[in-house]
Amino acid sequence: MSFSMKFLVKPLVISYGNSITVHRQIHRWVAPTLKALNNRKREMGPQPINRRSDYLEWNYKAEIYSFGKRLGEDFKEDLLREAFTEKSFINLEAEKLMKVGVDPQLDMKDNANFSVEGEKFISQCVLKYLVSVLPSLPSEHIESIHNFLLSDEKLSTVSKNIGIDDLVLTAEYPLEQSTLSRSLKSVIHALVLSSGEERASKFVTDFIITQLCGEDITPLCTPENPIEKLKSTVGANIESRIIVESAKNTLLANYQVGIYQEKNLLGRGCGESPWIAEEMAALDALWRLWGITSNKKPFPIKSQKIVNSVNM
Amino acid sequence: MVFQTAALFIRSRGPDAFWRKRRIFKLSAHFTGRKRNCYSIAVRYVHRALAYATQSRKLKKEDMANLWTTRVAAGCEEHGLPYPLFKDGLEKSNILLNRKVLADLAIWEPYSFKALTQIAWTKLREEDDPELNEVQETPPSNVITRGLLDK
Amino acid sequence: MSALGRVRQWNAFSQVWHLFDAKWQNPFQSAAVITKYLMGKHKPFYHPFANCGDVVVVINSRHIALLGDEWKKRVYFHHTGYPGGASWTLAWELHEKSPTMILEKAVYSSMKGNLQRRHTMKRLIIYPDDIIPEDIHTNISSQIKQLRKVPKVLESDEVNNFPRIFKLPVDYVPS
Repeated sequence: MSFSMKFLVKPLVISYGNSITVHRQIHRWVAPTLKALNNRKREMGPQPINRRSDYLEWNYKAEIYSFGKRLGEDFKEDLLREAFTEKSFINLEAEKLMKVGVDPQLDMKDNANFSVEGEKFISQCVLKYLVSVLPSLPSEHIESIHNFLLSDEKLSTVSKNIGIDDLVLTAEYPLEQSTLSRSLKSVIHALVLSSGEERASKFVTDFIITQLCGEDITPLCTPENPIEKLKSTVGANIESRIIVESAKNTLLANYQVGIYQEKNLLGRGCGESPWIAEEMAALDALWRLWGITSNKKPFPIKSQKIVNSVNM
Repeated sequence: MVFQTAALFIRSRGPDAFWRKRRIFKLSAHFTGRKRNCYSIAVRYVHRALAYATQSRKLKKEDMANLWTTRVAAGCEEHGLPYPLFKDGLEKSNILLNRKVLADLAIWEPYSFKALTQIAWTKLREEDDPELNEVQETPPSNVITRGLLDK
Repeated sequence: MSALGRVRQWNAFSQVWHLFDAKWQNPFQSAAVITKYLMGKHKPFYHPFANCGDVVVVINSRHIALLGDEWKKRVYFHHTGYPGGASWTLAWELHEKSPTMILEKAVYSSMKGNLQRRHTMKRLIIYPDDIIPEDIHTNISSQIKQLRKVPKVLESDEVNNFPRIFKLPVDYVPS
């Protein structure tokens, strides 16, 4: 329902002697009409969402061209087209042709291969980056941060925000997260083929690794049994001491526990019971060792050194 | 024969009441009871709500300022310096932070805030402020100014 | 919320139990200080809607000190609600009846009269002497500084043994 207010409002001129007052009012028919339209709309129930390409003025070629230009990258058009084509879309097209009795000889390729290659490339870049900025973090936690960055959830967010969701050729709509992330991986592989790995690795740094900014990575770096882990890391001669305790006999009891080794404070934690506090203290000690405490400097994104080290 | 002209003329007079009422109902949408959907009741409550809103635009600012004062006072009294002296010391050291920023620092940057109290305290001591004599806490010894705090 | 965030929140909003010794303290000035702790106004993240107040345990409320002749002049008013139900009690009378009530009323009236006040008052525990039940005692982890020093009271033999310049005769009557 897209009325322009111009047509709904009628000017009413009243003249009193020499002065003329102009009133504007809305036509009598507008309110009942809008009500009737609304009622009809409600009776019709929820309507399917149109994708952008369903509209008449959609120009896929121009959109594909401007996608690259928006991001400041030079893609080869055929590679980008392949990256955006899903298997389900080719099947759908073939079905349509079969229906009208034409032999479905489509020369389109889907992005299954591209996405596998792209994922390998992203994974490589992310791992290299993480190892270079978090040198003391054990490999299993590097792995979990890596998996977090390469999860469909994160990749689909990136994919959506750079406008891939309008360009993907697929049967389903709205798009699923897996489709979005697959397309992003394929686009990155298309970039590798178009502009080279150096350029593509910068793209990964700019769009995927930046997802770490402001993210609390401590839940990703939490071992099963922190106290055992700390013992295996620094030695078994650690001891825990209650530093602060308050309101012991109440529901709101609070304890702070410090973990010491040879009278040096390794970490301190707090919690509602001494055991939880001790576990948190062990985690704190581990995070300090691994350099991921909450007062850590932000991840270096712009640093030339890091970019060079990520280059392949 | 029925003459409808006069009746239709009266009916089509003036602006449509629907839009005038809708303006009020939009503002009463979050009310409960009859003051939400009955126009003559709704309009009274909407006018009252708007009057309250006008007053509260000013009150909100005052409330926030009072809250910041309480928070900053709590922050600097943690380190042993009363609030009036703290403000005085900051102003004399040409640290022109307002209460909002100071309150934020007190909550989220406690160590920066502690440093501010220490600077203010040192400045007052250098000026031999007589009010400092009533402060019983030990003054900070870790601030070296070399006269740099002088304006 | 991550595990760290959860315990950090718990730690920030934990209730600390403070001890306040009311011996020889002015109850009305002490009330202002106690109120500050009860309402959480000593914390930089204070907010009137947040439950951030602490618990205060007051001991020795029997030994509070009122200024001048306030014991005789201060009057507490009470009305039962029935006609002729008004009563006026002097401070010393009230203190004899209940040694904690003067302090409690002082704290109560030092707070703004809102819905929060009675809930805040529940965090105030007053004992007339310095005997605290064991389960309360274990909760206490902090102490509020007294507003003034407790003056030294000389024992009777200390008074007798104090060096004197001269000794008054036994039958001396000051004129």
